[in-house]
Amino acid sequence: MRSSSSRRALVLAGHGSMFGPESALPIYQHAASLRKTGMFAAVYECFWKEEPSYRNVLYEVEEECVYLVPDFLSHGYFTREVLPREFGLSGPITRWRSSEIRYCEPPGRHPRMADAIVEQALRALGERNCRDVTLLLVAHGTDRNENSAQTAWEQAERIRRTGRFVECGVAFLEQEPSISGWRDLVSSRDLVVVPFFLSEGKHSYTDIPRMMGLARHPRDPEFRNPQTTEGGRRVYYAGSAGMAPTLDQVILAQVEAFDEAHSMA
Amino acid sequence: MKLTQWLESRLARTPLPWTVGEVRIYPGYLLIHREDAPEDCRLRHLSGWEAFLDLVRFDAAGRFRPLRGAPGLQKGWRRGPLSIAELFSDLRVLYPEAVALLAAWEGKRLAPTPFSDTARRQTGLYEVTQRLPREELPALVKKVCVRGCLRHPLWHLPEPRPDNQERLTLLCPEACHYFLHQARARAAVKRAA
Ligand code: SF4
Repeated sequence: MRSSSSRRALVLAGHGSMFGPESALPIYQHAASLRKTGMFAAVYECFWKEEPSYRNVLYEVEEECVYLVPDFLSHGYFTREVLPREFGLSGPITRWRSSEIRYCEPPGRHPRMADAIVEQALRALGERNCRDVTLLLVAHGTDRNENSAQTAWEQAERIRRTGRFVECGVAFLEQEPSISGWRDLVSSRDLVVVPFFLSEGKHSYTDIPRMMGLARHPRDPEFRNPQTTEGGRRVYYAGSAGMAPTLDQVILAQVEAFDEAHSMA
Repeated sequence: MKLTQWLESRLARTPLPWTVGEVRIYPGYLLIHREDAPEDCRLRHLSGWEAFLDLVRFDAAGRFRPLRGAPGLQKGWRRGPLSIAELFSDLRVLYPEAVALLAAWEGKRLAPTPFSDTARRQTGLYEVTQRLPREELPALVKKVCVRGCLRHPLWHLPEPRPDNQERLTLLCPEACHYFLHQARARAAVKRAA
């Protein structure tokens, strides 16, 4: 049974950081905008590296039906190992005192995430027609969990099927194919790079531009799209996928997807 | 009882001044830094969640504050008059879960987690915290928690138990990530030595 909004809570579990404010920012933004929808009696944010912690947040939750959404893009180490462990989950549905926790998939996995990625790419391209441009999605990747990269491949495949871009590829910071080899990965002259990260930060502002050999990174006051590299190839650099303004809607779509998958609609 | 109602009744039976960490609550409700005076007309009225969140997340020099319980909250602002629900959500931003944890503690529903259990759960980068020698823990708690944080680490310090109903104590039932980070650094040094 679908619970009425007065009994439903949404818990957004993000990563956060001990070193900078940006990592948690989109989670606060998503929570604020989802509070305004009135679809939940309460929306709580919590973090792995900041406060409130995953371990403590449930002390505050008073609603019977708790949708726990990992505010992550990749469905990997954190969403499959850390979160279930820290929240003491026993499966998609876990009883916690008088509440029921419904563990949803991260927004990065939902089909609508592909639209959010495209949205970021189009914003970077401006007036530029995208038909002969390659969209290159750049994710973190890790050897610790092979599922981590899978999410990026799935979204790239969805975008590829739309035919909007001449090609859509994936590259990684910490696994193959590495973003440092982008010239061999992309055959078109022009490409738009979309960091597959939830927030802006060191990876999107520094690591990817450095590994690509770009002269300017997005925080550089002289940064402009596109940047022309040697050989006349032009790189459009987009905002991180998780910063797309529609991401809150993708989170909602994951809540709905949970209800549908578990016959709660 | 809803947490907002619990807070309201807890305040009603708590003698003034109502101090929580570095803030003071005045009846009505007005929220300011405890070292500021409520009648000071220079206090900046802060409205909107973004401005308030920024105030809490950065110190006066603009540095990021990863640990909300650490002293260093900016001064010179005021929030209010606030409803009890608004006060509750402001306290939640200032000291996440503080009210919920205090209510659970006083309702005997809060079970602190010993450090060994927290460390045992860690994987990946933080697995090394399991190797922190037991005798190292008190010194680390003293440095990180006692000197560097306003919360009371229930998971480590058995005494004094914060059962004083006249105070609004900030509680910590389990080593936070900031502590784990420090423990990891200490354990790594020990390992290399
Ligand atoms: S573990 Fe220590 S530093 Fe961290 S919140 Fe608790 S008391 Fe503060």
